[in-house]
Amino acid sequence: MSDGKLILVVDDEEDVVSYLTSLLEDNGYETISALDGAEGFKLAREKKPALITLDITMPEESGVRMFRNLQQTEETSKIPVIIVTGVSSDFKQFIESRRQVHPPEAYFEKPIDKDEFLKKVKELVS
Amino acid sequence: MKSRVKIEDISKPSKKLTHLDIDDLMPLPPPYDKIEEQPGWKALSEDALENLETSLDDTIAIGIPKPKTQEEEKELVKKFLSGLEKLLTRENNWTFLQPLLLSLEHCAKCQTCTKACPIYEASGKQDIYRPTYRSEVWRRIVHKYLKPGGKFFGRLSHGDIDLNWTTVARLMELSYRCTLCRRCAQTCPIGIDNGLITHELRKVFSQEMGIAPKELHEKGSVLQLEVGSSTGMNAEVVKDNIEFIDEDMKDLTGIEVHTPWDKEGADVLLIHNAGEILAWPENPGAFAIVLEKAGISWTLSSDIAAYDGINYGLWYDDFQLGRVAIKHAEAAKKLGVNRIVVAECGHAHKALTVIADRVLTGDFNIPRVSAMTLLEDIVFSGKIKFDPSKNDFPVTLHDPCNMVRLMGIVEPQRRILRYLCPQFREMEPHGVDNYCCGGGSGFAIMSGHNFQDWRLAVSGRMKLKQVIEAFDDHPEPETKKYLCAPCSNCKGQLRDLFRYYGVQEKSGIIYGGLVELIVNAMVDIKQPFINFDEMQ
Repeated sequence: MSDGKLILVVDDEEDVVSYLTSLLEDNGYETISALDGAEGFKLAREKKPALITLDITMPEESGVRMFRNLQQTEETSKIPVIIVTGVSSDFKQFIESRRQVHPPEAYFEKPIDKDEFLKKVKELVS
Repeated sequence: MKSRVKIEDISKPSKKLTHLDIDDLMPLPPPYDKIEEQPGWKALSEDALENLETSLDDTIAIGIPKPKTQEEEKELVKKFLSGLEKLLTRENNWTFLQPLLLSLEHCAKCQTCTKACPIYEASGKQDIYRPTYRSEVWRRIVHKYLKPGGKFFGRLSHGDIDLNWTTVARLMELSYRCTLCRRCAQTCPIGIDNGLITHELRKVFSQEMGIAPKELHEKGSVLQLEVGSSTGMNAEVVKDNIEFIDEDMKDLTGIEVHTPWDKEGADVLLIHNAGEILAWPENPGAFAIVLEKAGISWTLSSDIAAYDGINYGLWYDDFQLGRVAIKHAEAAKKLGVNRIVVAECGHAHKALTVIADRVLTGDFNIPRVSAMTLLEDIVFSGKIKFDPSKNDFPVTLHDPCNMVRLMGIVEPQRRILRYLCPQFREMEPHGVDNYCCGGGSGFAIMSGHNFQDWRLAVSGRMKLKQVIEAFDDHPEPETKKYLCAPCSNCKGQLRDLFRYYGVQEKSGIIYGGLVELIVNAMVDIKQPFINFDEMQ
């Protein structure tokens, strides 16, 4: 179990991973990262991060699938998730209104507002 | 108070060519008639006023950066003129040259078309929104700058105009104050197509100058060709989302559906507007139920662009249109289906079945049909049992321009509604004479700066009036009413329009597609499929 500072960043774009991990590390968090949903889910189970930032459109396994898997697996079901995506804004309502999953703890469209993002991270990690 | 604007005024620099005042707009019926309760539109930001071309009216659709130097302005004007020249040559514009030339030469300037234009009428008859205004600017430029001796004779025979950066910048924006509904073309006594002229101008701006609204280009057709859908969903995401919908359908209706993907040899390749999956998931869900219950062999495709029927190139760029249409046909060819069925999306209908006829030849000429006719065949096939009393609430029909006026698909959806909806009533006018929702030609997805306010206050105004009047026998919000709009783009505009004016609260009207009404009337469905309290 992480000490409450470890954040898993999942995104298939290396530039985004680099941006988010730098941003988080500069603000005192530890990070790990994955480039698709399958790798991300595996890491989530192994490392049990305090928070996950999750992209949606990724190859191999999407963020939607990973989001479902996280919630259907006991050891990961309580980890808060921030969706960070470039998918159209209608996806927010779609995912928040699915009865099969509870809504993500936060939702940001790319490009993110970095101050709002950090504020939300702080709130969820504490 | 509006003042007259002459054609040649477009070239004269000023802060604004036209100012819109909410008091001048076409009145709305009660309870939407109080000007003070109408939202109006936000002022443009200081940043936009300083950095973007904003001198046409009170809004901006494209957001054209102001050129930094006079040389840059001259270069853009030069590109525009050479683009116009190409537009008038067969080798560069074989798709649309003939009707364009007819519209260049023969306008009688009778202004019959102005009364047919919902934007002109709803705006309180602003001169610059006349269908003929931008056409006449274009004509004068062609006659003066592109015809031999035009600088002298063109001015005398067709009226004068100065071609400068102000003219071009305003004309660009003005080409996005028309929804391409082509009601003007329908009413013209001699067949002039002002909608086509607007379309061709947009082509010059995109194809020759690289200028188009980002919602249509970068976030539209470019994203669709790169990722697979303008929603940003790749094939994995769309499959996972459809799985959610299949599960919901079972819970809601008790009918088990497993949407098939990439099924070779299926009869039907169904192509939805992918926005439907996210914004109105009950629509693709209802299609799955109806197709399964009717025993149709069908599939979706997970190939790039083939799970998203949109084709925004239809509105601004022939090259992008062709690229997307070919992707759609390639997917069908690869699967060996008998036909492509275009689901409830009007512009996708026209793009793939009519316009793409020029591109999809030989092996690519796969039969392409409307969901309206497939649904009609299913409803009257006897394979599904219906109880029309389940739809016993007032229903009216919005006719998507692309599907109805521009393709002539008028009756299939009406035969279904007359059969399944006891309180079906037409709005006036309807069928091929319908009014656009106000979100046509890409407007429904364009909301930058204050453009959304403009499209809801002005371009959607006539549709709102029609919808309210269609239900004037039951104005009270307690009576639940349904506006059937079998088009994703129109539904996007109606969603925004209803929120803007509070239509659900004030009038008890919800909107939705056609296939939802079909499922709602099925005997096998135990609980109502249409939920009047949960409209998104």
